[in-house]
Amino acid sequence: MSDKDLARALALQRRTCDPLGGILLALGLVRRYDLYHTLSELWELPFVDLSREPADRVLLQSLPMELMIRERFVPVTKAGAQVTVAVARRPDAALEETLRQALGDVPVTYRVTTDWDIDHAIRQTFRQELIDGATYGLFFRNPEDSAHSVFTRSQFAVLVGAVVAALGALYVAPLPVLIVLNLFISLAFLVSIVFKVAVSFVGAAPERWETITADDVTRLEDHDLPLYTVLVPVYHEASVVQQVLRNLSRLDYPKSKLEILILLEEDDVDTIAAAKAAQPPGNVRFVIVPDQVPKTKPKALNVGLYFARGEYLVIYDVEDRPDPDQLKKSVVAFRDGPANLACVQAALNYYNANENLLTRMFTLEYSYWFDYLLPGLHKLALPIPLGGTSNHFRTEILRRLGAWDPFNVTEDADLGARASARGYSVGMINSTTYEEANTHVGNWIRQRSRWIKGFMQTTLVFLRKPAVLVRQIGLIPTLSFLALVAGTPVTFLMTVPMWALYVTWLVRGTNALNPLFPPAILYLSLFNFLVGNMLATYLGMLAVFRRRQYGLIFWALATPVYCVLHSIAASKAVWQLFTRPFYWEKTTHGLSRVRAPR
Amino acid sequence: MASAASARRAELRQNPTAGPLAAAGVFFFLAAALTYRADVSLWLSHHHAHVIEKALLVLDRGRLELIGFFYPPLPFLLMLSWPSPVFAGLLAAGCGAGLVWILTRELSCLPFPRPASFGLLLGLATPTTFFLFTQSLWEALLLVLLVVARTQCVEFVSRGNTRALFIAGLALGLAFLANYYVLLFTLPYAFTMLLFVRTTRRGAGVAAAFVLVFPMVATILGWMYLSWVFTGEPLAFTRDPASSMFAFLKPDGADLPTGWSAALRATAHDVRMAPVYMVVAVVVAWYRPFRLLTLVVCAVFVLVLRTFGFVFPDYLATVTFTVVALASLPPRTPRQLWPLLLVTALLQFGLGWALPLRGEPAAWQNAVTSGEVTPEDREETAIGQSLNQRPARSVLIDDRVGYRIIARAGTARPFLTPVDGLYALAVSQPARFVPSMLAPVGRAHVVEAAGQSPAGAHPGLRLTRAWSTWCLYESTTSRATLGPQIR
Repeated sequence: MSDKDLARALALQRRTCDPLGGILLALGLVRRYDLYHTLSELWELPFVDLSREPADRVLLQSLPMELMIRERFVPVTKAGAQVTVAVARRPDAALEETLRQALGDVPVTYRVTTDWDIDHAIRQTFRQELIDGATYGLFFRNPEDSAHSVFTRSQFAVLVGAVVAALGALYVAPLPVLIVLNLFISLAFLVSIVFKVAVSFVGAAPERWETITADDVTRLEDHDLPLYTVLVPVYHEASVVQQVLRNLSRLDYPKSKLEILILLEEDDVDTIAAAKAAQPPGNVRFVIVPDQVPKTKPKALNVGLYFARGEYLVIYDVEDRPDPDQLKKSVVAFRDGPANLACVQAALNYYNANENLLTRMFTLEYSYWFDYLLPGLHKLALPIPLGGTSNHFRTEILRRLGAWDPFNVTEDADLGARASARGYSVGMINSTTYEEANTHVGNWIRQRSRWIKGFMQTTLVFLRKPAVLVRQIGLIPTLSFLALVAGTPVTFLMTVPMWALYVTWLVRGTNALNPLFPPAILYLSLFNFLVGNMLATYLGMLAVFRRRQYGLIFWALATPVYCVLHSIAASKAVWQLFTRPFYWEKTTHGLSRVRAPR
Repeated sequence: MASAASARRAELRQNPTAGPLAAAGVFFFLAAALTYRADVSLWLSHHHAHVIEKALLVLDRGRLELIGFFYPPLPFLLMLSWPSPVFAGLLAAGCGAGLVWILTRELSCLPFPRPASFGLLLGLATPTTFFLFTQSLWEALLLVLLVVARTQCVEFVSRGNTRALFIAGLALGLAFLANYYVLLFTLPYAFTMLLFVRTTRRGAGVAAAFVLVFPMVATILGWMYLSWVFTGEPLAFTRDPASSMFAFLKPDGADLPTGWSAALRATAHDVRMAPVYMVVAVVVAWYRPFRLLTLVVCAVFVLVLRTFGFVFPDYLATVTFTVVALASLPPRTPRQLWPLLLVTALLQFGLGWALPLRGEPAAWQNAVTSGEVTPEDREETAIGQSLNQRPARSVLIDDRVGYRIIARAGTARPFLTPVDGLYALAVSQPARFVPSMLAPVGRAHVVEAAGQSPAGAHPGLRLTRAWSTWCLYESTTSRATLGPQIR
């Protein structure tokens, strides 16, 4: 280590008041093994290499996993009454008291090991517990919170009853039934339009002031910042793993207070190899997720959550490029926000917006969703369906909520709704994470069908006891939740059939459809068709204007066509809801020809 | 760095004071009282009669697409909930109150004593303004929507708030449904975007202009589409006889004064009637010369419209000039100018009350001040009231000339009009299809342009009642009872 490096580390220590060892590790100036060796000499305790002298599994399993992860120790051996404990921290009175409570009044001898070795020993020993906890943790706590059962018996009965009744009615009186169906569809579109426009109108207001200003961020003292955990689930993305490390290195947050957990699937040897080859600094740790179905992102996140030590926690996808000050803004939001603020969501947008028509449309949609709609929901204190990444949590509350549902393929939206249902609030911060927009239609439909399927799963979960939901969050938030999470799949599904009817009428000039459109429904449909499409297009235009993506404004005119893609994805989602409800349609990243800005 | 004026403006926008609300309330109260007075006096403007009649037809027939023949639709749609002269007047008064509210908030930003700022509104407290904001809903809507759009454009340009751009665009789009003159008045807004919207990225101005005009373009295309769906012709609404759109192309509009000199004379007269406009123009030219464009463009547009034969009534011109002038006063207008501006507003107030009005506003003023209306007004009311209990579709009438009668009747149920499928047949053989027929005196046709033979020549019809302007023919046989069965 050069004098310059040491000076840098010491300067950082003065600012953060963190242990120098952790800082040297986070800056990548020392190897973990060497550091803990040195610490063992400093603490005058012998070093133990747990890979050569593994801990006693039975002894290890006698203690709670969470306690050992939190307190950074594992019992290694027990000889008579004497217990040898390996620690990755200097033993102090607090640790002694913890051990006394956990092991009883037994004599303890300490040995030093690395935190990696402790985590590894725990993962090896508690492999099945980790799998069970990550997969069924939420289900065991409260089965009704989990999408493990797609339909409850009563829901299934209602669904079958409704289908049978509809078919029967259709046989007896086809025209009235079709008219009622048409009315229902028209009303669904109308509610969706009115709701989204009203919420967006409110959501557009905060842009008049910066919710969290640069001054707020500057006022934060490094030594006062908490430990922040970043979870990055990676699967079959060996080519971009280097990129995520580069992107995260841009974060303006003391490295010694940043714990980056790269969640790697056990069977994904290529990505594991690529991650190791990247030689990340010491504040980056790899968490190997045991290989067992369901192989979903939420399950990997749940495993990661076991090893997260940060007061706050955020999820980034592998291709994400967050604004450097995002973590600090999140800290400000949590400190200034109410005690029940469980999560803040940053906006998502795309760095490859201009790559092709699909990326343009995706950017238009995301700009609207994250810059207008979600801030509007936040301002109106309505449930926010979280986006897939860049959601920052208070780790403790996240654990209390039961974390992510591995059986829900939009675990984020589900978690946002669950937080609201449990009396917590979800907010927004004025910071952006740039991602890679899908460039291929097939890949887009896979991703979108998963999201829509997840929205349907979430709807079914929360409609198991609608009255309870209303009691928990109130009538208006429940209606808002239904309009957004349930209404979105419905309107997407109906888009193609309605367009098909329209084109048929336009091309053939047929009057056969007239009976389906009595005056009131005709006017409603015309309003939806003209005003709805106009407003959807217009909101997209405004959203990208706000983002200063002026070149995209004209592309907003293609919004009605883009809706057709949604409809196709929604059809696929419905099919999968019945055939493969938990199947995770993996989005392939790294397809863009546009390089992420450095 | 925001200026003190813009900071005050921002503060006012976020924390509206009681003053603007009180001013708006006073205006609404006065306009409502005048509406009531006009209604009691049996006075009804042509425009309101037209809109009310269309709303009554739609409510009775249950088919909204009847408006495929009608422009402008926004006043009509608003009237559907309660098609009556009072409601039309109240809606117009609401527009006026909204306008006053916005203007008062704007004027509050001036560095004048608060009473002086509010006093400038006296320039608008004239009979022409009250006529417009009680008897001309479409023009009232146009003005208030234009002012909303302007305010929001300023907000957007000065603070970059895209919600303001959103509202401005929608206001202009809606304004097209109230009055097509907005097409012309949108140009300066779009031009402002091109000139003043600057960011670090290229294309901001063009993008902002595009976003601003998009709702209006979409509205036009949407209305053309509806017109095509319901009438088979996308531009059918431009040929609505009651609409003044392209009036100069129609035989009826042939007598409209056109040409530069006539238009110039008329416009100069209207400018003279708005001294506030002239004085503010001088103030603006002195302190913020670039803003003068807004004021000049406004007068030029009126001139151009009139030159090409479009109808731009003098009362609308005067009120428009005054509103534009008050909205254009720079927030940094020197404080010492308030006496000059206040005296000018008082002068305009005096002129507005002292000089006689012309045309429809004059008749309205007479009705609300002395309670006197023309015999035709009383007659229309009497005819309407005498027919409104008749059976459905029993009275043949061409609502293109008889819309006032239907509006006075308060129901379209007894009348068989061109929107009814049987109308053409009934016109050809009235006695066979309807028990009665109402035709204007001197024309003796139900449809003037249809080239029908005089009603009296129809076998089976006889004149049963004649007023000074209308004749009622009744069937001499009992066969003409198909009307009620039409439904």
